[in-house]
Amino acid sequence: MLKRARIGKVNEPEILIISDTLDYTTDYITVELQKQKQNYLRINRDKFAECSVTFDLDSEALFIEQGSAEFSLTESKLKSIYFRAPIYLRDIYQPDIPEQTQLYRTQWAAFVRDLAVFEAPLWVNNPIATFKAENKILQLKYAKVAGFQLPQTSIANKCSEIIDDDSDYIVKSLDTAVLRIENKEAFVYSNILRGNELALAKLSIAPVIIQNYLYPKIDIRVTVIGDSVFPVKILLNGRGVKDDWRKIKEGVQFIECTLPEEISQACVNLVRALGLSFGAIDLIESNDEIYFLEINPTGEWGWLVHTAGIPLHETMCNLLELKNV
Amino acid sequence: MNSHLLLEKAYIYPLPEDPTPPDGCTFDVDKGFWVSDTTSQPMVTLKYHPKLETKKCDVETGEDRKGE
Repeated sequence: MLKRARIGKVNEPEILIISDTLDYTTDYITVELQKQKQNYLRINRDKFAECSVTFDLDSEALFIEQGSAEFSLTESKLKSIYFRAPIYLRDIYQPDIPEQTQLYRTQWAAFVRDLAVFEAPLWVNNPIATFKAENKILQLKYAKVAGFQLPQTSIANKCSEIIDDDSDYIVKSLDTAVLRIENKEAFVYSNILRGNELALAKLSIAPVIIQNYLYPKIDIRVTVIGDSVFPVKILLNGRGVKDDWRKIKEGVQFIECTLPEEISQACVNLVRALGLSFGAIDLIESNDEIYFLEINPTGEWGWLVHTAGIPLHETMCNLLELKNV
Repeated sequence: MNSHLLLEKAYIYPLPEDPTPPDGCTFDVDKGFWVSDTTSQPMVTLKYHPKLETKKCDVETGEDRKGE
């Protein structure tokens, strides 16, 4: 074991939160944990250079000096780890990232992923499980097994022969697509296309997801925390949004709703089957049927606390404290 | 169409500026959250504070800053 100079009382947190100082959703959690006098530690990925961090392989302990405090994190003491960090770094190729930043980001990203060495605590979510669950084809397969209906779906770099000229389709990227175009940034939303337009589209250089466009539709966002399910309908002027609702910046309402029991259970089953303890699931309701679109293992939920008035942070804290949720 | 469909349909916007710390608040390292400089209250309990108005925090990079 490494010899360490004690600089004061060593804290042994039970809850570790890996975040970023500008990730305000994490504040909901830490404020609640402090209110409940829990023993937690938040470390911020953007401030690692201001900390002293050592993982000692012999004792399998992580030592952190942050400010004037010293922490020792071990598998036997840790109840849970909340991992609020991306699994993929998608823009590291960009030419204007200084070499120090490239090194900082790639190596610290690897370090926090590597904390998966702590196998006993509950992870929300374990980065290894997130890596698996981020795969869209795989999650569609698991969703089917969990009992969900899916829109007719193909993933291809060519237009399928079954495309009907007069039907509408959703075409979206297989993975989050943030691009640099003419010194601007670009983001790929879901697109609605008529079959005859899709038939002429160039697809060969990258595969896409093509799904039957179901309309009328209401988008439903389901936040699953442990065994608790929190669905909200996403409406504009009291109706479902025809297009990708994320394109609309104002006036969208998030209304708490209920789901049929079998759909709620399917949501929980899917999260469990993917080895997750949290998931943000996108569904749509169309003609009295509910369809699965995707699950986001690192999905955001802070916006629902103040828009839909759902205290998701309280349930998340209960989960991190290993209380039944 | 000359380029891939997703390039044709991509939503293009100016390069986002780096996020900045919230005005009038300081990050309390020991507590692990932002507090108001004037009241010492947690920032997220204040009536006006930077909020996540959409699931993407109005940043077109997918969820949870995946695209960073």
